[in-house]
Amino acid sequence: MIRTLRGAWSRRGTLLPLLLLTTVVVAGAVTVIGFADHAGTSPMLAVPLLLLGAVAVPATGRELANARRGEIALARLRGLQGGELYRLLAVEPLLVLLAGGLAGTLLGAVGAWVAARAWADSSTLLPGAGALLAGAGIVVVGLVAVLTGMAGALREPLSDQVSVASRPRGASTAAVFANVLIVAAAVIAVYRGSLDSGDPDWVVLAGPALVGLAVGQVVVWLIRVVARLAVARTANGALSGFLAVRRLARVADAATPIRVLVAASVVAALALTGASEVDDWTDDTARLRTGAPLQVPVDEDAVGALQLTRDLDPDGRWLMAAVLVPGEGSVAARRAFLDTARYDAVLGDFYDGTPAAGLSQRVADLGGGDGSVATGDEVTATVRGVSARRTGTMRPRVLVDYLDSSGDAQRAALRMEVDRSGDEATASAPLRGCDVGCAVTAVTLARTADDTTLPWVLTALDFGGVDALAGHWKTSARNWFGEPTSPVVVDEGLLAPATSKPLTAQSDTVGPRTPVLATDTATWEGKPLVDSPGGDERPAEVLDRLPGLPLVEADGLLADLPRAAAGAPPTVPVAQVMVLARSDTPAEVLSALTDAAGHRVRTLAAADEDTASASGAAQARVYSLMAVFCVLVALLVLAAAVARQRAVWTREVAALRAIGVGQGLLRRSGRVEVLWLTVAAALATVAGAVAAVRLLLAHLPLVTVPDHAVPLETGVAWWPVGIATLVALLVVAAVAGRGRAVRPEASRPAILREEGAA
Amino acid sequence: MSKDLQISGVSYVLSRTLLDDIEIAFRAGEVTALSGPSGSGKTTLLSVAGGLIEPTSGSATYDGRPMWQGTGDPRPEVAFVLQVYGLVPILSARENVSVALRARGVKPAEADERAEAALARFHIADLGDRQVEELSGGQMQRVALARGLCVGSEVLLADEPTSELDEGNRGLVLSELRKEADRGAVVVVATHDPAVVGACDRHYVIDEGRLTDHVAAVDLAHFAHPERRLIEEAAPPHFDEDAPAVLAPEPVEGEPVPAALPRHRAESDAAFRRPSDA
Repeated sequence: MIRTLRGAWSRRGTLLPLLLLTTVVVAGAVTVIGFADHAGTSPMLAVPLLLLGAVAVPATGRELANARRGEIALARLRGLQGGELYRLLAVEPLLVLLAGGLAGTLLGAVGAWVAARAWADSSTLLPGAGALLAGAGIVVVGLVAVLTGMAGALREPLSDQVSVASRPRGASTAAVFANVLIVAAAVIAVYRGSLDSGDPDWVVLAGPALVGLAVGQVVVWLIRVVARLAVARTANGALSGFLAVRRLARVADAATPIRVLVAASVVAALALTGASEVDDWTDDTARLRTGAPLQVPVDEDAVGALQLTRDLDPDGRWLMAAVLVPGEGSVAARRAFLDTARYDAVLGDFYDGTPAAGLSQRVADLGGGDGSVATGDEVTATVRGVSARRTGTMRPRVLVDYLDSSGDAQRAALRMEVDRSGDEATASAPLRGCDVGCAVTAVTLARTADDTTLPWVLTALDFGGVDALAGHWKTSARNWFGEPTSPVVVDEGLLAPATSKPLTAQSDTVGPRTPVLATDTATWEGKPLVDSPGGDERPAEVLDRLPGLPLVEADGLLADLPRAAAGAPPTVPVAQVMVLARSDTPAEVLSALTDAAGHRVRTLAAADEDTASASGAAQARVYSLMAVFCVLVALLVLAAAVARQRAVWTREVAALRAIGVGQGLLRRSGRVEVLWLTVAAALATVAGAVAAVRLLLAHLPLVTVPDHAVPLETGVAWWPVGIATLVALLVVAAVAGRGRAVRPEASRPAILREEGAA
Repeated sequence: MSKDLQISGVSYVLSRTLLDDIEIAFRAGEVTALSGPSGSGKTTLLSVAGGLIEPTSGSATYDGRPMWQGTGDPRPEVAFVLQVYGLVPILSARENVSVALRARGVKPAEADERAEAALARFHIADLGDRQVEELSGGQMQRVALARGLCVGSEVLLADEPTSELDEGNRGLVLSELRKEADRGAVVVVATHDPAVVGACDRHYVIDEGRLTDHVAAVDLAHFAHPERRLIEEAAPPHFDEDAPAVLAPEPVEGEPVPAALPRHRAESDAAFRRPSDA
């Protein structure tokens, strides 16, 4: 054992990356799976991290085998082979993997606890058995991966193994197959994701990492191809480019390490995009669900809620009544009603940026500009004769039938007297029960007994402050005997023709046609209809369609509450009646509201948390956390690879300095090479991220969209892609640049004197 | 001003003394051999002479200017043929030679032509496109020689330039070194090979960091090693008691006495003997 430990210590440079990689992968997996145990998120979200670890560890195994070439050669000379040789070689990495696994498990347990405290309000201290088993599994798989990586070195001819000089070796068939397999697996992941067959399997979950690895691999191939093409073109160019291009073209693993970095960056871009979109979706959904920054349920019917808001906030500055009827059976049966007259004051730009953003453009039309719903307390009619008369008395009577706020039929009677000149005469009568809204249903023009039958005209009808004549009136033709059966609509208003019978015109605006906004999903068989809060069916006029609407979210209709409530039966029991309030509503108003309502205020933030919890939106955060671990893995892989290349690079610089190549030129050559890698990593990250977001993000279980909620729209957001690209770019520039920045003292030609043959 | 490479009182001390008060003048137009046991300080002396390392004391000067420039880079008029070749693995054989020329300001096209010609001088023109990692040790050594010789340097320092070569190629190399000296260059060859020593104009022996004018015989009988035969084969003949000494050239005043050159030379070495030796 002491010999093994001494051997491990002597190869600590090679073993350190394996130790760190194991620690990071196990810590990441235990964090994600441990959090899943606490919060009920999917443990499968750790799959991309495990995949990157599985790609990175065999490379370390190869390096370890290379570092032990002499030892392996000696063991083979002594006759060790097969399983015996593998056992000898496995002890050292096994110790490292166990140490890394232990450290990773501890770190992961801490990570899971912190994440659970932050995102899931869980206080459980230890990760579950699943997380611990995953950590142990990673150690076992890591050992297998290391030994697999060593297999190539073990098959190396003994004569090469004992040689001081390393001979160039082409990529093994297994390595080429593995690279092709990654590209094929990425294609399969995209295809399986597109099938939309319910919960995605692990291939789809590994998809972002697979797409990143595939794009990275293609870019690595492209770098070599382009560099090889550039070899001839740079033959007569500057020496810095000449050297950089040849290094990229001829050093087998010059660009390979960026593959894992590209994959990690793609996963990070996807995770950031997903987290951002889930956050936006959660916020949108919470806004649509609450309807306003503050919401207070009330145990009243629609009229009561309207009355309450008018009592507590007569100026309409902070409070707004609303009703949601979560009707079943059809999208149109699910309906919401807002007191739209208060929309601008109470909600303003609350829905900007949400699927209901278009609401502010059409909300004014919901109340209807025809004045069929009135809240005044008086009706005033003006009449006049069609001409002057010489005899007779003209005492017109105007009978206004209307529905009060409770839906009860009421009638107001007005009596006037038109003098012989025929000039206008006006009269008023009180309206009852119109505090919330009354709707005219009919106007009857009648004469007082014994009056002249000369025609007269109703020229104005001010119904509770609105012009009732502006609406549409249904009239009828004369009867069989040529007698009029209803008033006649004329330019000035309603004409009462010469007859002694009362003539009635029915309003065509109230009840009959309710302006609504509909979601895109709303459909009708036949003419559009909307049920009032009381459940009576009314023809609907669909003003516009929007992806989402307040309270009903993605499925339903929205109408003006006073208009819909006017003349409607009592609010149905399933209706959720509420008062919406601005966030800056004075405390005393809110207090009065909650006292009256008997319910507490529900804030947007609380709704946000509820939505996130119900939809499992924490998964997006866990996915982002996992992406951070992926970037750490990539950083380690790149740093380890650059450190490996650094020794060779240093000797190259020394050799070139020995033949007179200046240090400045060599620095430029290193920068050109780093520039190639940086640009390649950046382009690959952008391409991979765009492809992964477009092809896979929608199929990842980052959120469970509830019924009626607006769908989670996924698309390329440039800032996450930009951040991921910037990270990839900076990591390559910093790590590769650091690897190429050799101190002049370290690369002086004299170091070649005692080293092995070139 | 002399065009000799002057080594004046050079000492080089690390954990032990590697060079101790060395005083030599490597003359222009001559091929000077530097021999001695392994670890005696030959390579270190060449490194000091070429300006790769700074001596602890003393100086190496050429044309009146110090060889040590403060960075460990050789001066432009110096070319090395390193014992470890010092070839750049990312470059082909031709490019390795060409880059040395381009580093000295030769235009790329001309550098490629001259590199091709230099490889041809060592009969490896057909290997020009191969990566150096694909070459054998002897082929790499000839590429290193082609690279060192093609630049037309004023000082050529070759460390074991024939260690991997067969007799025919050794003769070829020695004749090329002779051509370099004949055009006026200072040529110094560190070697264990008596044939190479025999072909040189001057020969210095260094042992434990000091120049010496005698060589103690090594009794191989006390080596009870199974690989003794290999050691015997590897031992330079001047360690062999049976090898009769030849008279050394007349000593120059103020300089150490060069060691004796071996009397017998293989027939195959005849091609690169100086005319005066015939």
